This record gives sequence, C-alpha cells and structure tokens, in this order.
Amino acid sequence: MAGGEGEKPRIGVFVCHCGTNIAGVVDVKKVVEEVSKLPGVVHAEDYVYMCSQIGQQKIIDAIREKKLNGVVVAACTPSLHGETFAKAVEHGGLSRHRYEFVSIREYVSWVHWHDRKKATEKAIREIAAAVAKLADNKVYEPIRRAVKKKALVIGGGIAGMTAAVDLANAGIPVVLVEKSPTIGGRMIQLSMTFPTLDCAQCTITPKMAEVANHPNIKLYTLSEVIDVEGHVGNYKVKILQHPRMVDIDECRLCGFCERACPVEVPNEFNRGLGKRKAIYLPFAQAVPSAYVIDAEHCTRCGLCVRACPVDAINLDEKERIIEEEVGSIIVATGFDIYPPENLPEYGYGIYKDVVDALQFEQMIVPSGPTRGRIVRLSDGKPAKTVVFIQCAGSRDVNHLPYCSKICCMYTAKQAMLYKMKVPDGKAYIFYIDVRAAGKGYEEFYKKAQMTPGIHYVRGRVSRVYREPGDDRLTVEGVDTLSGKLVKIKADLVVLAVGIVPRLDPELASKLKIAVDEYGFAQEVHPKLKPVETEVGGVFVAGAVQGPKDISESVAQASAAAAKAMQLLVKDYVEKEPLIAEVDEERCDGCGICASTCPYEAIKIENGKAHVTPILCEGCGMCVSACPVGAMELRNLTDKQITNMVKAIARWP
Amino acid sequence: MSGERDVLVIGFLSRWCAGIAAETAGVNRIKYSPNIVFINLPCVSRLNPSHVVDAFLNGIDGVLIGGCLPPGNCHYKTGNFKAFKRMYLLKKLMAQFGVEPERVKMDWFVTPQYEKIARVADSFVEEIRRLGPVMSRGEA
Repeated sequence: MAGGEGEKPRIGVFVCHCGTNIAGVVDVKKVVEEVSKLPGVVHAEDYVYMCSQIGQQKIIDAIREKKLNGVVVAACTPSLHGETFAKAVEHGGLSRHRYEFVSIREYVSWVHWHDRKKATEKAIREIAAAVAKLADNKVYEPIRRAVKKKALVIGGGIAGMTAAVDLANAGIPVVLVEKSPTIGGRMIQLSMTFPTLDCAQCTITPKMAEVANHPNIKLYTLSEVIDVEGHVGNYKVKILQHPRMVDIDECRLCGFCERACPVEVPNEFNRGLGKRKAIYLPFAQAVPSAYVIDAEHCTRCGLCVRACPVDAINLDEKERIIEEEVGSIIVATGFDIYPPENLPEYGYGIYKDVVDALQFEQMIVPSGPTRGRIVRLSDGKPAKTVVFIQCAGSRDVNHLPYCSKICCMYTAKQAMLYKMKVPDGKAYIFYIDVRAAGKGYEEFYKKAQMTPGIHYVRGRVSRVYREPGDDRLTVEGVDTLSGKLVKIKADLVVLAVGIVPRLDPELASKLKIAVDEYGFAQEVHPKLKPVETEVGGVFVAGAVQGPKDISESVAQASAAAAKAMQLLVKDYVEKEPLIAEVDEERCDGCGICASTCPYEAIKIENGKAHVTPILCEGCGMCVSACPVGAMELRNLTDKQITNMVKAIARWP
Repeated sequence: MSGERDVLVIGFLSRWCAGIAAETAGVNRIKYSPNIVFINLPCVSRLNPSHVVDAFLNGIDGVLIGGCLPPGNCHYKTGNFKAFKRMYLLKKLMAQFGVEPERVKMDWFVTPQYEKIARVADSFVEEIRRLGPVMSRGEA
C-alpha cells in the first residue's frame, strides 16, 4: 500500500464549496491556488459538493491518476462526512490513515462570515497543518478483538425487561441488574395505563415471569454496577449484590416471618401510604418471588429466623461482588418523580390530604393501602371533591424547565378512574395546556373532558391551605379563560408531579456516558441515533434518556436491544490502531507512563514499557509524560504536532 | 514583518467536549475572531508543554488550551486534570523566562457551552493583541 516510510509525499487536497456554505465566505479558488504551493502537494482542486458521488469520484480518480499517497479533504466536519471520505480514499486504494479531514465549515466559514479575507487565510493555515501532519502519517492494521456474546442490562423496569427479553429471545445471554429487591420498576406501581385503561399489573406481570423463567437471563436483584472497565465488545463489569438474607429458592412465601417481625416502617412501594415490616414481600407478584430483609431497619432480633419453617433466613449473609464480562451494555435505570416536598405552596407534607400522583395510583389499586377506596387520608372519609394540579414542578423555571410529557395523560386517566369509583364525586383539573400527542391520546383526553363531573380549569394554583375549622382544603387558583379567581373546597389534592432521571452520576461517569443539563442520559443524535451513547456498545432505553410513557419506553428498549444485537452477532470488533507506541531503545523503564495511564494499558516488563494494544484508548497522556521521549502516539507524534504548529505559523 | 502584524493564536482542543462545543458554535453560526486556529487532539493531556514552547518559538502569539469540563468527567478519566497540572507548571516557567504567562490560557468546556468557546476565543485574542506579537514569525 502506498504511503510507506521513506516515500516522498504526493498529497492531493480537495476543497469543498458545500454549495455556498463554505464558498460563500471562503475564497476557495484562492485556497486551491495557495495550497498547491505547499510542500508535498501535487494536486489540488475544488468542487461544489465533494461528498456527492461525482465529488468522491474526483478523489478516487486523482489517487489513481496522480499516484497520490495522501489525501486532505477540506469540507464540513468529520462527524458528518469523515467516514464518507475515508471510504472514498479506501476505494481509491489508499489506507484511511493516509487521509486527513479539515473542517472549514464549522470551524471557518460558519464562524468567520464577518471577515472573508481572514477566513480564507485561516482555511489555508488549517489545510497547511493537515498537509504537514499527513506527510508523517503511517499505515497501521486495525486491532481486532473477539466480542463477548453477552449483554448487561441495568434496570429491571419495563424498558430494561423488554430489552433483556428481546436479547434473550435472540439467543444472547443477558445479565439483568436491578437495584431494588424485585423487578417491575415504576409500571408495577401503576393502577391502569392510558389510553386503553388496561390494568398495569396484568400487563407487566407476564413480562416479569418471562424474565424470571428465561434460560438466557441471569437476574441480580438488590444489585448495582460498581465498576465498568473495557470497551465496545469487551466490558468487565463488577456488580455489588447486597444481602437479601432470605434464600430465594427456599422461601415458600408463607409469611410467618413477616408476622413475627416487630419492626414496622413506611412502605416505599406505595410511597409511604402504608406500612411494611423489616422482612417483607415488596408486592404479591414480586420477582424473584421471595421475602427480603431490609438491612437498614432490621434489628437482628432473630424472631423471623425462629418463625421460618424452612430455615430460609440467614441474618449473617454478606454482600458479594460478582464479575461479569459482556459485549454490550443497555442503561435503563428509569425515572423518579420530582420530589413533591419541593412544592410547599401546594401543601405537600403539610396536609395529609395532599398526595402525589404515584400515591394516588396506589389508592386506586384494589390491593393498595386504602383497598382501592378514594378517601381523605386525614380522617378516612370519602373524597367527594378531588383537585388535580398539573405541571407540579414541570414547565417551571424554578423546578423543571422541561415538560414531563406523561402527566397530562395520567391525570386524565386518574380523573376518569376516580369518577368510576366515586360516581357522584367532582374532579377539577388545573392545567396550563393539555399535551395529548400520541396514538389515541387526544381521543382519551376528550373522553375525560366530556365526562360529567370532570372539570378542566385552565390556570395555575397559587396555594393550597386549610381554613380554620374546615376539614377540607381550600385550593386557590386562577381560571385564565374567565379571568376569575377560583376557590375550590377539596377533600383531596393530587399533584401531577413531573419526572426526573434516575441515573446515578457515578454510574454515568463509570460508563463514561454523557448526561444533559437535567441529568438525562445523552443520546448521540436525537433523530438518527436515539439509543446510542458516545461510548461504543453502550445504549440507553426508557425514561433515563428523557421523559417517556410506557409505549415509547418499550419501543426504545427494543431499539436498544436491536443495536446491541448488531454488535453481538459479530465475531470480533475492530479498534482504531492509533495507540501509544514505545521506542524500546530510548525507554529506560522508569514507569511514569504506566502510572499515568488511566487504563492500566502499560506494563513494565524487563525494564521496558509495553503497551497492551487492546487496552490503549489513544489519549496520548503517557506520551507527554515520558521524560525521555520514548513514547509516541501513532499518527499524532510530537514531530507531527510541532509540524502542524509550524505550518500554521509560517504560512504565507 | 514588523510588530504591526496582527496576532495569531493556536487553540488546542480536546476533541470530545471542547471540540464538539467548537463544532456546535459553527452550527449555530456564532462568530468569533478568525485569528485563532484550532488543532483538535484526542485529549489536551496529549499536549506536551514543549509543544506550547515550540509554538512561541515559531511566532505563535498565544496558545489556548480547551479541555473538557468538569475535572473528573474526562473522556479519558484524568486527562483534563493532568493537562491542567502541566500547564500550570509551564506558566510558572514562562514567567521565569520572561514570556508573559498570560499568553497561555487554559479553559474548560462542556458540549452545550458553544457560546462560551466563541467568547473565550474572542477575549483571548483581544488579550494577546494587548500583549502584542511574541516575535517575528518564521525565524526559529
């Protein structure tokens, strides 16, 4: 292949107009004229759309006709067309390492449109730098490594379960890690789902059973990912499993332990509306189907141990660390509700009769803490008037600037369900505007709106308070359609709280995935790469990436599973070979490089540094740390950086 | 050439956050001074202080180093922090050699801060204009 050592550089420069995007600011003819004079350049041309078939063919033809051994393309940006031209260069018979991309659109014409002369000069300097660098680029073979045909899914909610089952059905072993004692996520806490009013539990429990029984799924509950090493196709993951203290195979769900347990604490499953013991079953359909001890509240009194007829309880069980090797990771850690405590103006935490939407869901569920009755929590009397406050926290610069997307629909659903339970009750819904985009959603909202006894009030609530001597709450707000102040006496106030991502920043940084300003996982491209992250082989699914309802979460989970499959069906992954290299003659084995390397990719053996190619990420940190100049980064050597600087400085 | 020539600044960017921020500045058509030419590196920790010295010897008037924010959230775990330490020491050394340490500026960017990269580029070029050209170009 051309471009070997000692060969004289024969470089072609191709300057794209990008229509008028570049040519409207940069004098491309002048650029071509000037870069033709650069040492090593034997060919330079410009074309209106270099990325077009004709433009690419120009590159291919020039490589063959002018016997080029290097190509510089000056065009938009490498993230858009870096790969396009790399393929064209390879098509022409050159290695992609004999090609450099110069961004003269994003870095020049689009930011220097106010000074055409200087923009043109800057474009020339950039190209000169690339030409100077390219002269010393060498050709390297890609590094190959076998793919671990196994996937890790973090989060056992509807998104995580869907992704896990999809992968498992394709024959790929899956490790599913769930933080809580059971899978099921948020969906299992819901009563019915919009817009069909299906029972949420009936919809999700078959999926949970499928996860539990699937031969390809290994489920770790009470577990969290504490360490991630490696890269696409080969991740080493450490999972910390907290002690359950109950043997899931032995437990017969008889419940003797629960009756014996003297410790009572608020039940997180129904957001503290009910109580549970320190040994408990999270809910009837929990998977794994076994009791669990809440280590934080257990007093180790031992009463449950004595009560258990099958000796399933071991209070001395210790946490353990499990190591797994996987090729791909799907992050589906879901969401939390926006803490309603942050909204004191709505009386949450002050009045018992103000609940959040998830608590209200639990009041609707027949097996819930109120046995399915909608009552005032303060005195247990039936709630005849319920006020729903939408956008509780969402679309509010003081709380969450974004729309949480699901609240309009779940409020419509909750109002309808309330009316089914309390036919003579009144429901008032305060809203900013109703967002019902989705299949069947608008119709569902209309149905709620038309239901007698459900009143939509357009406006915001200013405060919720109790007047002295009144057993009901007063909701004060404004109806912006009539322009009048409204005061409603309510038995129950339901806050349609927004959603926040449930992505531990530490986990995000271990996975090296980016998060946005609100803490949602950042996808690579909102439209074209919605489940991919910046990190190869790591995908996102569900509400961790942004507010989503169940249907969207499931769709995204299947998409993430499909992306993981694309990777896992391959036998090997190829890795960019532009890594650090040791000059053994210069190396004196001091080991500074090894201590600098964040990937433990450098070992000192027999007094010399050795780079493990598959571990090296090519950051170059060791290169600039080496005191004797024995370390180099392939195709970005010290000499190349200096030559680039010189080329920029010396033109014209 | 004389001292009247306009200044020329090189900006070394880490190609992850800082590089993407610069690209996004382009997409949003945020104008900034054309006197700065960027070189994208895998990580600013690839930068050897000698490259900065080389730049000055070749007549570059200022060097901006754009790393990723925040320290500890580096794509390469610790690269931004290591780069910071190296450049901190370099600036101390520059003062001893009689070169204004202000000619080296290190700043940090996250991807959404594309306006910041333009703002920093502009203010840095202004600062270098105030200091004037480092020496005539192309003699080293």
